[in-house]
This record gives sequence, C-alpha cells and structure tokens, in this order.
Amino acid sequence: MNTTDILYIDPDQVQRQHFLNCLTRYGFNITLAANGESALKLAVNGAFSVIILDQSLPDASLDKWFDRLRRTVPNAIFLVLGEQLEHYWDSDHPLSSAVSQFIAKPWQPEALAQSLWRALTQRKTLNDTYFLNSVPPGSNSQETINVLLLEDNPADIDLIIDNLSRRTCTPKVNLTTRVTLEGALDALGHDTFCLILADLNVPDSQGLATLSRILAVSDTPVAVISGLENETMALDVMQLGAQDYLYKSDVTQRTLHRLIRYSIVRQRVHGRYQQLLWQNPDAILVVDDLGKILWANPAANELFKRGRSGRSPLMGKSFGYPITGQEGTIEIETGDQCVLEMRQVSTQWLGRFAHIVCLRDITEHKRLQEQLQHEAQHDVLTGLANRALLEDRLDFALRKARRNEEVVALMMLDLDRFKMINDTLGHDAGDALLKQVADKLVSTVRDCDTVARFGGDEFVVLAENIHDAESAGKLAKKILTALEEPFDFADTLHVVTTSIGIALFPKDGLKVKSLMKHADNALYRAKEGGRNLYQFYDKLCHQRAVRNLSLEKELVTAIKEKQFCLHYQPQFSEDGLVGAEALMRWQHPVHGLLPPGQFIPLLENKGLISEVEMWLLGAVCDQLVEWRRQFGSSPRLAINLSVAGLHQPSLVSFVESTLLSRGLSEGALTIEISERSVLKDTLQTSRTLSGLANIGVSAALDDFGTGASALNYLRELPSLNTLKLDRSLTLNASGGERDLTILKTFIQLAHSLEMNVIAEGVETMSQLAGLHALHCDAFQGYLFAPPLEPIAWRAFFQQWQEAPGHFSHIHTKQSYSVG
Amino acid sequence: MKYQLTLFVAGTSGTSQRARRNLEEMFRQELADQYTLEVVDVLEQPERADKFDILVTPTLIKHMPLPLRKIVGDFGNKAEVLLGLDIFNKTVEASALYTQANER
Repeated sequence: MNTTDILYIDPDQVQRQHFLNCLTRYGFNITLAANGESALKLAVNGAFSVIILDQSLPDASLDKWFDRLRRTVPNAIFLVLGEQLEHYWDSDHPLSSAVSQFIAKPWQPEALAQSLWRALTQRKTLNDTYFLNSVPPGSNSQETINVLLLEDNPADIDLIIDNLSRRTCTPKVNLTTRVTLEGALDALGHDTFCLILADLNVPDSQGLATLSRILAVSDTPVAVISGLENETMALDVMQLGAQDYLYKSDVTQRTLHRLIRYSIVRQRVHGRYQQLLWQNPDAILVVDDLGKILWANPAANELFKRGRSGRSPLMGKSFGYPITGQEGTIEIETGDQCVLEMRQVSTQWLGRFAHIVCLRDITEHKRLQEQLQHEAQHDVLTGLANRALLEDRLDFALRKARRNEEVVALMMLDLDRFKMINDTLGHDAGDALLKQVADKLVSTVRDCDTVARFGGDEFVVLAENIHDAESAGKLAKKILTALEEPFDFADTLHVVTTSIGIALFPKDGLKVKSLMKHADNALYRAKEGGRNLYQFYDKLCHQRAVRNLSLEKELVTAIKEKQFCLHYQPQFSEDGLVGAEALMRWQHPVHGLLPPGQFIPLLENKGLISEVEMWLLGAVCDQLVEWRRQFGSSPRLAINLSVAGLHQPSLVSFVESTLLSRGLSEGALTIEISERSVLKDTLQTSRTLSGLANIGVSAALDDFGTGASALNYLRELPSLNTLKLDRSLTLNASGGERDLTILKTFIQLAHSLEMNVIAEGVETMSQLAGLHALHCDAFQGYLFAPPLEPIAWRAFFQQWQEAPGHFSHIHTKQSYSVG
Repeated sequence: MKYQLTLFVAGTSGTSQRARRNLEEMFRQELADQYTLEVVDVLEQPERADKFDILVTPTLIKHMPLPLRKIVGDFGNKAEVLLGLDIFNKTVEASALYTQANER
C-alpha cells in the first residue's frame, strides 16, 4: 500500500516533534516545515496528499501561504489545526470552503489519524467523479488523456487536432490517429485509451459494422463523429453502444471537449451497471413473451455451456416462460444434474413486454440439504434408517397394507449380552460389532425390507408384504441363523446371539405405536425365554405382563399394609396329622386372593422377598402359639424360603430369636427350600441348614423331581430331613411300571439317606395307594384337604382331634373348604 | 380440440417427478379428458429435446391449440402455469389471478 505523504507546517518546534511522534505510527510519511517559505519549497518537489497548517502561523501569513500552497499542490487535502477556529465557520471566510477540515487543539492522535483517513477516502471518491466537475479555471493541472482517432479524411483530422490543441483546454489530449479500422484495432491492442473518436466510414469498413467491430474487442468508450446529419443513424449508433454522436459541422473546441468528457463519464457510469450484469455470478436472461432469449449475461452463457444443449450461443434460442420460485435442472455432459433456482420479473425490454430471468446454481445447496435430510433420518454409525425414518416407513407400509390387505411384520432385535461386550471390550469393539450386525442384517433381509437401528443394540426390521405369520417366522429364523455366524472384531471371533420379537399387522396392532410396543413386548419375552430365539407377540402374555407391572407397583403398599396372609395345608402319615405347609396368599384389594405363583416372582424381582419371608416367619410362629393356646398342641409347620431368604447371613439367628421370643421349642418349624437355592451355593446352604438343625429347625427339599435333580448335592447336605416329591412325580404313582420304578428309586434313595418322603399333590385314592405301597412316609394334597385359612383350619383341626385316625379315614376337601 | 402437451423431464429426479405429479393433477382438474400429455425423458431422447431447444428441465410445451407455449418450472404454482399456457377460462380464481398478474 502506498504511504500517504503529509506536510505539516508549524512554527513551534515542540509541536512539530509531537505531531511527528504521534502520527508516524499510523503509517503516514511526515515532512515537517517551520514556515510557509520552506513549506512551499518542499511542496514543489514532493507529492503531498495532505497539507496541514497550524493556526499559529500569523493570520495574514496563513491565508497567503495557504493560497500559494494550494496553487502548487492543487489536489492535496488541506487541514488547519488551531485553538480558535470559530471565525472560519463563517462561510464568507476565504479558507472555510477550501479547507477540508478544521481541527481543534489539543488534538487526540487517534482522532486526528481517523480524520485524515476519512478526508483521504473522500478525495478518492471525488477523483472518480473528477470529470463530472469542471476543472477550476486557471488550474495548471497536468492531466493528459489518450484518445484514439479513427478518421481517414485529412481535413477532418486537422479539424479535430486544431480544436483539441488549444492551450486553454483541460484535460490535455494526447491524440493517436489511425486511418483504417484495422489500424485502429491494432492500436487498441497495444495501447490504453480513454476514448475512441471514430468516423464509421473508413476505407476498410462502413457504418455500424465499424462500431460493432470496435465494441467487440474493447470496452473503451466510443464517440462517433459523422459527416452526415442522419438522426436515424445516430440513434442506431447509440443503441449499439456508442457513448455520443457528433456531426462534424458541429465540431468546436467546446463541443469536442464536452464530447470527450461526457463520453468518458458516461462509459464509467454505464460501466458500473454493466459490471453488475457481466460479473454477476447468477445467470441473467431476458426472454420475450414467447420465451425467446433476447439477452444473456456471461454467467448464463457459462451455465448453459455446461449443459448438453447450450453449446451454441443462447441469444435467439427459446427458453420458455419461467415460473418464479421453482427449480429446474440442466443435464451436464458428465451425467450429473445442475439444479437451478429460477426467478423472473416482468419488464419492458426495448419497448416490448419481456421477462428478466435469474437462474442460480443451487446444486451444492440441494446436495447439502439432501445430506442433512439423510442425516436426520439415518443412524450415523451404521447408516441404517433411524427411528424417525422407520416410523415414517412403517406408517406408509401400514396404509398400503390396509389398502391391499397385506400382512406387515415388525421385528425388534436385540443382541444378547451386548452391554457386556461394550463394558469389557470397549465402545470401539461394540461399535465394530454393531456395524457388522447392520451389514449382516441388510444382506439377510429382502431388498424391500427396511432395517433400522434405534440406538444401542436395538435393531428393527420392517418386512412388508409378508405372506403370513409363518413366513415372518421363517425370516426371523433366517436372521437368527445369519447372526449366529461369528463376528470378527477386537482381533477375535465372537459368537453373538440375538433375540427377536415380532408383531404382525393387522393381527397384533393397527397403528405404528401399538405395533412397536407389541414387538418390544415380544422381544422382552424372547429374552426371558432364554435368548437366541424369536417370539411372536402374545396378547395374553402381554396382558399378564401389564398386570404384573401394576402388581409390582402395588407390592410396596401390600407389605406396608400387611395384605399377605397364610393358608395351611395339612400333611398326613399313616399315623395321622404330622404337619402342615404354610402357604402365602395376597389379599389384593381389587383382584382378591392371589396365589403365590402370581406374586412371589415379582417379590423376587423387586428384591422384597426376604423382607416378606421374615414377616411370614413371625406370623407362622404366632399361629403356632395361638394354636397351642387354643388346642393344647399344634402340628409342625413348614414354611417356604426363597434363594434370597435362605442366603441371608443372619437367617439362623433371626429364626432362633423368633422362636425363642415366642417360647417355641425345637421341632416346631420346618424350612422348605427348592433345588434352585441348593444349587446356587451348596456349601453355604449346607452351613445354613446345619445351623438351623442346631436350633431344632428341620429342612425339606421342595419340588423334588422338577429341576436338574443332580443328586450328588443330597450327599453334601446331611441336614436335609425331608424330601418332598413334586406333584408331577405323584402323578406317576398311578402310572405304569417304569414310572413306579423311578418313584421307588427316589423313595429308596431318600430312605437310605435317612430322609422322610412327603408326596405333594395327592389327589386320588389310587395315587395314595401307589405311594403307600412304595413306602412313602407322608402325603399332602386335595385328597386330604386344600390349603385352609385359619378359621377353616380350626374346624378341620377340631374335627380331627375328636376323631384322630388312620389316614385311610380321609377327610375329603369339601368338608373344610369355606365358601 | 384437445390440448396437446409434451413434458420434458430428466430421469427420475425429484423435480421431474414433482413436475409430472403437479401437471397430471392440474390437467385432470382443469381439462378433464380434453388433453394428451406426453412425457419425454431428455436423457433417453436428446434429439427431441434439441428440436425444442430444451435448455432446462422440466419444460412443458403446449403444441395445440396454437400458439405454441413453452413454460419452465416444476409447475407447483397452478395459476401461473395456467396463465403461461393461456388456460384461464376454466376457473374464476385463475382468471382473477391473471388480472392480478396483469396489474402487477
């Protein structure tokens, strides 16, 4: 950038130095002068843009030197610094109009620098419009402009030269003359001209063609001088693009200078507008009412050149009537499309109705828009559809299926134990697996199916136009099989299993939301059912699940309000009543009495089971105390303990204190445990059972014959006193030879381990007879009595006490059930 | 006389399909069965596109009744399309819009 040269005139040396110090740093090149005379000497030789005078030059001398400096450097900006500037504000003062700015002292360097820049900017703008202002008379401006004259008539050349060479004229003209068009074009190729003065009829070209040729190669303004007074010709010349037209008979010094000045100015003004169109990045067309292209800017030509059909010039082609605010495309030779935004305004063009059409290339914009839309609808990690897109597609698929009466299957997939992979191998491994699963899914399903990922390891497959449930099952099976193949990630092969839940339209739901919910429910059941399998939505299961959910919520209240109660089912041996099993019931305020199967698993899920069991223990002991008080005796009572209950660290001491606090003796209580709790931790179970045995509480193994029945744990649990045969085994007692053999083996095994055997679920006489023949010790079941609530128990017990007898005098269940 | 129209589109781009849908719906409403609309894919039949100077797609040409009209866009603006095709006697709204457009 050019530095600005400043001349500062101040008689005070301190002030001069201060000015220099302050303003140099703003990039000004400062020259100092102590008085007018030395300033003038400096001004003659230097090229100062700004001259600053201090008011402290005596007033008369300020005026004098100002005048002389201004004549020496007419283009400079003048500023005056001072403390008393008021009298300059009077517009009559000779300095008030000639000085750009008066600046009050003391001045701030920053503010002064800004004033200088502002003044310089204004001057630059003024220079641009220099030709619009007449040059002040008497100015000795050195400005010279180059003009090319195309004229073959020597007399006319002389006429022009004569009128241009008068000394009084400004700007000074440096004239280059050519007598042929070729010569003129050649000169335009070599030199820069401010103006071309042309006679259109030269030896090698005539009329408008001459002008066209010049305009085609140069954007220098052209003024035409003509020997013929022809107004039509003049108009044509102007329309073609000339800036002025002058008859030779009208040439005088004044008209010629006016022509030169105005042509240049007009070209500059016109040039700005032309620039707007020619350099506009948007394609601009003017089309007539029938769609024919009347004019096109270079951007339009460039744009259509890219297309297949735009290689020939646009002018004169048919574009069509464009509709505002719409999009169109141009086919590009590469096979791509260029997307255009189109706008049009109606206008008059050379006196005719026409449209200005603006075309903007929005291909990139559209691409981004599509990309954004894609991102909004797809999962970033796997590239699969996301929830939003899947719901959209599902909605569409359901409408279509409704119309065409088709079946749609919605499958929810979940990788078994994905969380573990993520936690142990890291998220990168998890991500790699998800990507591979996504790829596998896409390659397994049909092309018309949609695979989506809802986040985490939750995948969804939307299968449209499925034939029936069976084919949906086949597809699910196919997916499971495909996903069973090991996946290669984290440098190892991993086997991953999957669970799938399927909901079908229209059977399982008609709406997007319900299908999703039901597929999810089916998935939950598939996972519960042991993983690596698929499950269809089951309405009953769902209802149960919903009910369980609400029961689960109500359990806390149930515990608080002691809604649980106990029923007792008697156990008989050959000798009569030997005991009873206490069975828990939930007296639900809405659903009524609920059996343990409906709420014990929920209590276990919620971790509330031990708490309830401990309450139960106390309640059973209270019942024992009550019965002893009422009847003088009571049978041994058995209560069930869950896994959690059995493995409570303080169980033995709790049982002991519960018994002691009620004054109950040894042999009052039996704990029934299931195989499940034994298998969980045999050593711990053994310790607990022997602890219980020490305080006189015996133990029974419940549900024997239902589980894995790995018999070796029986050996490890010497404290087990009783084996309870499950009702499924009891059924065998009336069965064939083989069934009896198995039963017999179990009973013999128990006896050889010094354990009693109680058969559960004894319902018929033939079962009883069979079991008795096999030496089963005791029996429990509806054949004797159902579980009895305490009042019914009293009736039963009293009756039994009055006529205690052999078990063959059985009391039928009807006798004791309380309506 | 039936309206004879040709729609020039490029492949199956979104704009092409939108244009086609818009026109078919509009003509069904405005021209009932008094028209034939041929759709030409300029990628498949470039020589036909050249014959009619198809610079931008979609472009619609009305061959009959004369005068021939050519309009460009996706034809979402019904009133303007009808105006461009000189079909404005069918609905009051269209003619009202035509008047408005003239005033503008």
